[in-house]
Amino acid sequence: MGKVEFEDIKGYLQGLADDTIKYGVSKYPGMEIESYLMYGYESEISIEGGLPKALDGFGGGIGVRIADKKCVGFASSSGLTKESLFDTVDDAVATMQAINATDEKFHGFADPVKRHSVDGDFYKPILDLTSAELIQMVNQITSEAREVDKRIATIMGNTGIAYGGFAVANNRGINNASTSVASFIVIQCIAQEAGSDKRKIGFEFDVSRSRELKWDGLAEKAATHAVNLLETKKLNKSEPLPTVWEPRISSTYIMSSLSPALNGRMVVEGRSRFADRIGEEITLKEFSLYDDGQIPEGLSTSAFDAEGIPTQKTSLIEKGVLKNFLFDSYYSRVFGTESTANASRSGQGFTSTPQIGVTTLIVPEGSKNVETAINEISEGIFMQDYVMGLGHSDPISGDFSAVAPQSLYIKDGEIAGSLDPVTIGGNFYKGLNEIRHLCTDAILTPWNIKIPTVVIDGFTVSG
Amino acid sequence: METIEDVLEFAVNEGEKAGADFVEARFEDLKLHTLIREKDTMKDVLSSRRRGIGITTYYKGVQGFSYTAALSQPDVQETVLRAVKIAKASEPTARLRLPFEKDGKLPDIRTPLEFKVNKHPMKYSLAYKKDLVDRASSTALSYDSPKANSIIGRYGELSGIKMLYTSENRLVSYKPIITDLRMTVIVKDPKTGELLRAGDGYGGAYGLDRWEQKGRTPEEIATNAYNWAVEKCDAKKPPAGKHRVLTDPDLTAVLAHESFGHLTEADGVVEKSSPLTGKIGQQIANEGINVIDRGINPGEGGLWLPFDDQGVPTANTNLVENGVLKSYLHNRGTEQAVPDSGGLSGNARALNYRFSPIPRMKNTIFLPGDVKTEEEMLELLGTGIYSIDTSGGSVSMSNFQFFALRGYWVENGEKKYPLRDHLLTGNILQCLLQVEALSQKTVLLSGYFGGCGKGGQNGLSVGMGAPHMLFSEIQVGGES
Repeated sequence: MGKVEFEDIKGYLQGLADDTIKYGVSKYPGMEIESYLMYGYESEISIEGGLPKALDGFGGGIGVRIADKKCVGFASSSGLTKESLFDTVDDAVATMQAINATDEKFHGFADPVKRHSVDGDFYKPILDLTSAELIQMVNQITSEAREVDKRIATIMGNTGIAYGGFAVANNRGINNASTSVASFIVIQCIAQEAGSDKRKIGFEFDVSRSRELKWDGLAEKAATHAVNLLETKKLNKSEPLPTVWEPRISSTYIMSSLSPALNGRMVVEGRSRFADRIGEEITLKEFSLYDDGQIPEGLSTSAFDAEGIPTQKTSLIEKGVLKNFLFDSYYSRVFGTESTANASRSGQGFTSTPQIGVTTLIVPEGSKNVETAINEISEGIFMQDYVMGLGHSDPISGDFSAVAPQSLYIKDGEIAGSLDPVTIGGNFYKGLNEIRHLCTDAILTPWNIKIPTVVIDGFTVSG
Repeated sequence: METIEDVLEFAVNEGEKAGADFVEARFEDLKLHTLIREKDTMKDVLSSRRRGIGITTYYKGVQGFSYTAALSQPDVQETVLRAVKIAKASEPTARLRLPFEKDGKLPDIRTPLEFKVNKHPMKYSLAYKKDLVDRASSTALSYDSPKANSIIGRYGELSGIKMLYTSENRLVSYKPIITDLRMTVIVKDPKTGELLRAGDGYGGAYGLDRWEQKGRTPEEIATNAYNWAVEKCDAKKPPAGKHRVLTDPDLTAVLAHESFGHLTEADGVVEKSSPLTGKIGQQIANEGINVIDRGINPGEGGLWLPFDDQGVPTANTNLVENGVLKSYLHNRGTEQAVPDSGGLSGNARALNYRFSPIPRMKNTIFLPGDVKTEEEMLELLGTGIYSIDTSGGSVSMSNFQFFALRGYWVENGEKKYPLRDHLLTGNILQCLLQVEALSQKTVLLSGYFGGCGKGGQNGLSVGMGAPHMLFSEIQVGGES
């Protein structure tokens, strides 16, 4: 496999994808075949508590779907030797035949779609960052954090780059490829008062595919934030209060609720409450939601989805009205619509069959800035940094219960100190109808959601 | 043609020639099968081969790790040279180093160790395993008041071989095995139209005869999942606030793992991020509490892990004895850095060949107490919450949260009404001082699906076990 230059990745993978299809079509006439190949490099350096660790590697592999009429099978293998590609085709056929399960709703792999689409932004100097430069960056950011305050007990810094691409081809004429790059830096500081068990975290990050990383001042911000949270008080009540969800937290809200509920597989298979509600109002009319596979700075933006269909922008909720769900080719056919080009493959990609996933979700900003929104709250909670448990909650019923370990208390329109951990409970979907404000501070979070601070009424806060 | 053993030995030699103090070359060739059925249709039928080499090099107590999915000698050579290069480049920044010495007493196992089970999954066809999923699915779909709105039947299996060659010129090799069968049922509440889920299933080092045993058959798993989903139609949310809480063995096992086990992983101790740093010998839990972490369980079940990913035999580690913290979970470097904390435990584990081993749990188990039955535990609870099963949890600093999937509101030892999903939270070190009783009944959990996440290595199979546990007080999330 060895090193393949970035510019050559598409051609390299498309050539192998084509070889695989030709092999399958000639050896197994009459069957359908789809091959997905991935190749990539990653390099990551961390310094945790003063201990450096460096990792890098070249990865790649192939995933093959085979269908004989209504019978489908899949096999994958790491490595990209000709031998392993052809073995994987044979394994997919053997697996399909061993299971011998028919799927009456299967109507073949994806058909080619003609639509203009492009890969996300690409900042070439990211490719030229050496391990030595990454080590210097993480050394500097952790050193800066150490200088801020002696109550910083532990520092973790982490930086890395990744680049790579995938190609997907099938017997219906698809053979498309995409490449991408990414770079990131993270700094996390734990503050602790000497002789106390109380610990608070501050973390900051930057992620980019389209420009140089900006990490000036991040260390100081993270360390200062953690130290400032050390002094806390108890909320000492359990009642419904307005809650302010900063973008890092509001994005996990959407990820744990609408993201699964608007997934076409969940809809078709009876696990979404919105299954038969297209055209109905499902949120307040101030709320809209899009999925955009073409946003240039999006970390998961690529010209094609994991079935080789050109990506697009899909309107999901417009002014409160449900417009569409996210689909791959299989579930769009079952539902009787077009694929929204949301096929994605988890992990390294080639190890998984296409599943439906978001590209970048976008919640448009409202008109209120965060300060004004807080000023209007007589008593409430500002949730920041991270919330534990949203991801373990039930996205089907929408019932959730979570812990905010580092929230702030709002009293008479002002931030009035840091709180001991509080729990927040309620229902995700009910909450979408009780949004008081969407603010004007949207950012693109690393969870592929671009969203502002959101203020919601009615959740029970307890602590 | 060179064997894979030759390639690993070659990698170690090349790494040493390039200046590494110590090299570990790790190979895996694993086969993973996944079957997922939705209602009437087998939706995902996956057969995956995961094969590659990961090489850890150590230079003055600092590690560099590189991996490759290509196994030719030139690819492996390039990989080990990169690993040495990044270790050397990182070394000057180190404020903490974790060097360790060569150890001539560690084993050399050239013939792969195998786990003996009846009905070894590799000897049975995929059709046999599909039948398990089909039987569970058909059972779940056979009930009709109400009919299931959605069901997911899943079978997963991992088998194959792992090998490690080290600078001690020794090789260790074993053949891991994991099987798993699960059923999830979603029903629509006939009164409110709400969708409610419940699930059942088991996984771990089992032969396929596991699903022939009473209480474990696909039909029984599916019936449980269906009944528990239906029961949720009448369930309420618990009142938010502090309650007496009884946790069932499944949930307690996750607590053992998430809320306690992670804090004993020694990387967090040497980096001073764990709240258990410096607490060896201290009373951190009630006297009745004993926690162990072991690689091999008696009989079947749990995770079968004879060696860790540094080739260290897995120890029976006593983490907590009568409430006193005795050990941490180590890799070879942390064990040297923290003397008198239990010794080499065999806890260096990597998610796969693309990751370097870090301290992770094996089978983390709360040992049982003396209360005989569930009924007696309910009597001891008196009035409060009985929390059952979990979708997982997490711990940050000393705060833990975990999510119970079901439960009952209990008054005077009697179940009054079923509970919906609810959150349990608190400070783990306080919580362990509030344990009032443990039952004699324990379960051992592991599996192919799900798994543990840490440091970007998510989905690692671990084992966990526990009895029922009664707490005098836990904060419960709900509605006021």
